[in-house]
Amino acid sequence: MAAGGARVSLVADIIVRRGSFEVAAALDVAGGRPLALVGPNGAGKTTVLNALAGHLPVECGSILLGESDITAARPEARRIGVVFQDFLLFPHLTVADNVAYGIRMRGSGRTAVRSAARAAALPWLERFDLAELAGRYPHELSGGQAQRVALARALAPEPEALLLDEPMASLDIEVRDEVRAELAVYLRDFTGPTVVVTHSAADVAALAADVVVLERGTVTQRGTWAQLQATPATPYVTRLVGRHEE
Amino acid sequence: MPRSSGDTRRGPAVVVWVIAGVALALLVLPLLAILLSAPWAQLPALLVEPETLQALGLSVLTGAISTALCLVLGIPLAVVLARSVSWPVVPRRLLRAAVTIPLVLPPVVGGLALLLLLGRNGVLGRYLDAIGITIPFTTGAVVIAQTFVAMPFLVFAVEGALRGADRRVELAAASLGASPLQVFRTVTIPLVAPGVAAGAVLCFARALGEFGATITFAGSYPGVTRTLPIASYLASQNDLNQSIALALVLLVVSVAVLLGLRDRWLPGVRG
Repeated sequence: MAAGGARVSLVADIIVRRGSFEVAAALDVAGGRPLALVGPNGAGKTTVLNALAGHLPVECGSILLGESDITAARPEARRIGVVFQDFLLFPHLTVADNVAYGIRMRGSGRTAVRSAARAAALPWLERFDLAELAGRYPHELSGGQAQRVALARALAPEPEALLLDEPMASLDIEVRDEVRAELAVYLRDFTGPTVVVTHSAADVAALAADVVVLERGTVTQRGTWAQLQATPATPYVTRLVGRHEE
Repeated sequence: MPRSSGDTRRGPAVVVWVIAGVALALLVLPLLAILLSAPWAQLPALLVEPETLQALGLSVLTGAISTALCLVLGIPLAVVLARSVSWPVVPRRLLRAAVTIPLVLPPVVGGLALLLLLGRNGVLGRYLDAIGITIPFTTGAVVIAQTFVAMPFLVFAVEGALRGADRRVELAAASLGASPLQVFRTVTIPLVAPGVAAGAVLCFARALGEFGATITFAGSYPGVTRTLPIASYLASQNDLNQSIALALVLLVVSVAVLLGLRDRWLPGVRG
């Protein structure tokens, strides 16, 4: 796991093809320095994320997580937690069982048993303030609650890296600031490499240390948020840094 | 005069109601006729006759086995069918046609086809016969005939559920460490459970009512292949009261199975 010891990093230099659309991206994500992958709609951000997670094959290039080459590894063999855009909680499982799912699947022996996995999930429910919601089903949750469940579910099996796809996009605008601040706190506690896909300047500023800008399938700028603000390389970046208050 | 706007809205609705009423009458009146003609006074005696109990027991047993067989074989077939939307047109249509055939084929033809395949001189049957396996006119033949006619009900119900469910949660499961088999067992199956339940009920009801394929392929041996519908038909030749009593049993079992289900498990009902 990522906590303690040397921090692993996620290094990817990949080309991913979806039909006639090709995305090329090089990322170097250090543990504890969340990276925001930003870009307009259709830039290929989610495609890159899906390739990192193993849900899309890589056309060429490699993905290294710490010491291991995971380019061709199946999704279940990568220790990468994913928070999907609309969270994709299991609708037939309670909050507790959603959070326990990864522990049960990754577990061997005792924790592979549902009841033991549930017990192992308890600290995660408490940490994400979900203990009172443990018995609820996803359709009974607010957007912010569902996001906390998705995050707890992704982190409970102690992944080495974390990917978040537009974590604010399916939340009501009124609650975004509050939930974003919460998310920032949780992300600070995770010491593995983290990639946040977003098209929101507010997300970048609050959640990420480094930024990679993806436009029409290619990287057009990289740096810190401050560097992007100081010297925006493209009209898109200029617009992005200009509407920070979003 | 009533308001004209009300008329224009109510006019077509009345026609629809009347036609729907006729359709419903067509479905329900024949069943009502059974109830009205039933020899209620003699019924208890007729129902405990050994032949009745024997036929009922055989029907429930074979219906349950063929439903289980349809579940085991039909769910994977439904998965393939649901995935076939991305196939080229010809194999996709052939697959769908193959699954649909038992629905449109007269059951007697289905029974004949099974006999030509698995009969003692059949395409496969002759080899089975050579190693001492005889299928026609056994209880096993009843199960195969019922499975043949009932399978599409299960496959289409499960396929519909698979298409309706958000399959992307399977990706979430894989990212949480679940192998493809674990994804299928812990996510896919529970997601389609309502469809599976609805399919299993229809499947059981269809198997219970199976007549044509069974009598052609399995015959009518008391206690071996004489299921309730066959017993009811045979009785109608010489003892109408006995036939009605058997028909009543079939009717009651079918209605009980359908009523015993929650609404949302029934096809066409979403709640």
